[in-house]
Amino acid sequence: MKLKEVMNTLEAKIYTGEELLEREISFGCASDMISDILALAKPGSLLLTGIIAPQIIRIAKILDLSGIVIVRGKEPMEETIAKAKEERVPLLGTKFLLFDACGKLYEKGLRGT
Amino acid sequence: MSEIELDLISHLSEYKRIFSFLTAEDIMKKELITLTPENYLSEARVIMRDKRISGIPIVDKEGKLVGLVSTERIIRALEEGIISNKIKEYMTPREKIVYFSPKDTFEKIVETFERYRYGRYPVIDEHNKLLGLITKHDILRAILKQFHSIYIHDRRREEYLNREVSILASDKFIEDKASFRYDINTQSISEAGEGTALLKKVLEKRGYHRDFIRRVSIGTYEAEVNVVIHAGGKGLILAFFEEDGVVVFVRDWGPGIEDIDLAMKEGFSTAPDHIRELGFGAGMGLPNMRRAADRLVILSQSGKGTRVEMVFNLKEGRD
Ligand SMILES: Nc1ncnc2c1ncn2[C@@H]1O[C@H](COP(=O)(O)OP(=O)(O)OP(=O)(O)O)[C@@H](O)[C@H]1O
Ligand SMILES: [Mg+2]
Repeated sequence: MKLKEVMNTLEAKIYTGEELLEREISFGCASDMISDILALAKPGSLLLTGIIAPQIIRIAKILDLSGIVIVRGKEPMEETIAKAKEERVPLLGTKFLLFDACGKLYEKGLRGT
Repeated sequence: MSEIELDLISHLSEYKRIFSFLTAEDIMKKELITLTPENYLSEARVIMRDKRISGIPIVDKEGKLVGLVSTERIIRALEEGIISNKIKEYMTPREKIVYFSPKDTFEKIVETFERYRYGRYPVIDEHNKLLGLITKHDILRAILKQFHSIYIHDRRREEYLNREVSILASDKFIEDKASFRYDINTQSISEAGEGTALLKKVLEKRGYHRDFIRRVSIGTYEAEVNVVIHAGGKGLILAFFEEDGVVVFVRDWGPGIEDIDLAMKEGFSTAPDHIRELGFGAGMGLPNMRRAADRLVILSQSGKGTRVEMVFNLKEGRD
């Protein structure tokens, strides 16, 4: 699945990373706890999370994640958006709850492992 | 000493490096019963029987060591019918006593126990003043006291003791040998992880495999974040690039971990609420470090900071 399709499926807005919408997403991963993400996310995963702090961009870099979707309509912090731009990590936002957002992507064929 | 006890001592020698920070003065028993050369052997006998001790240091008026009387000597004195004589002629004289200085290392102590096989060794200062006594029980007591503050996980346990770089070596030694260094100095969570990000770049430049870099990064990140969240934000990351892998050492000068076994449990966390809101505090950091590294050693003591050493071995065909 391409990042563009993720965006459409989740009716998401994009904060940064428009130029990366053609990127192929291989796996999905969802958690609100950083250590869980570190333990579970495979390289190339798209992360769905409620974490809005800039730390999440660092995690994306450390784990080579393919993008981040902030769920349940939360707005990422200014600093988070700036950091995402700087590190070239696609950052999206959706109004859907974590559960529903995962379900929609799963339906479209995206898997956790 | 019985066979079993001897075996115990030689077993201890395998752990020489782990406890290398212990010195004679840390180990010695300080509450001592002493006698003077003018006391009688019969008095020594009564004390040994009543207090169940196997040897008594003999000191002069100034507390300087002049000799030692052991149970073996008392038994012989009884056989020879000289038990009512004064100690001075029958004690082991000072020049024949094997002793320790306060700063003698754990290694030296264990080696001495192996070599001489006496039951007890006095600890004396440079003026010959008696400071304490070390028996094998004192060694065991000192070691048991450390166990709440050391954690060792090793996938290839047998190789552990032979590694060059070790958490237990002196700080100076390892700082000089490190090929990567980052000083952690921030209390801001959003800056936590900078050291890891830099290390990751260096590893990428050096051409390590992606999966290997990932393991090193996850372990280092968790340790670095712990320094910022739990240890006041002052710390040090060192990395060593070795033929068969990478060793990462993270230390801090924070409050230390009181109960390491508890802290290692998945889900255990003392992170405050405002930290949890940022996504930390799952209590998965230390377990993640254990999973990511082939060897994890944590040394910590309340009030003395925490040292973490992670060894990441390059695996053939994998990394
Ligand atoms: N460097 C340290 N100094 C003092 N205490 C520490 C240190 N590292 C860990 N701890 C203690 O051990 C506990 C468990 O640490 P661990 O990293 O597993 O979880 P956490 O940091 O609380 O949460 P997470 O890492 O999942 O975000 C911490 O809550 C803290 O009490
Ligand atoms: Mg942690």
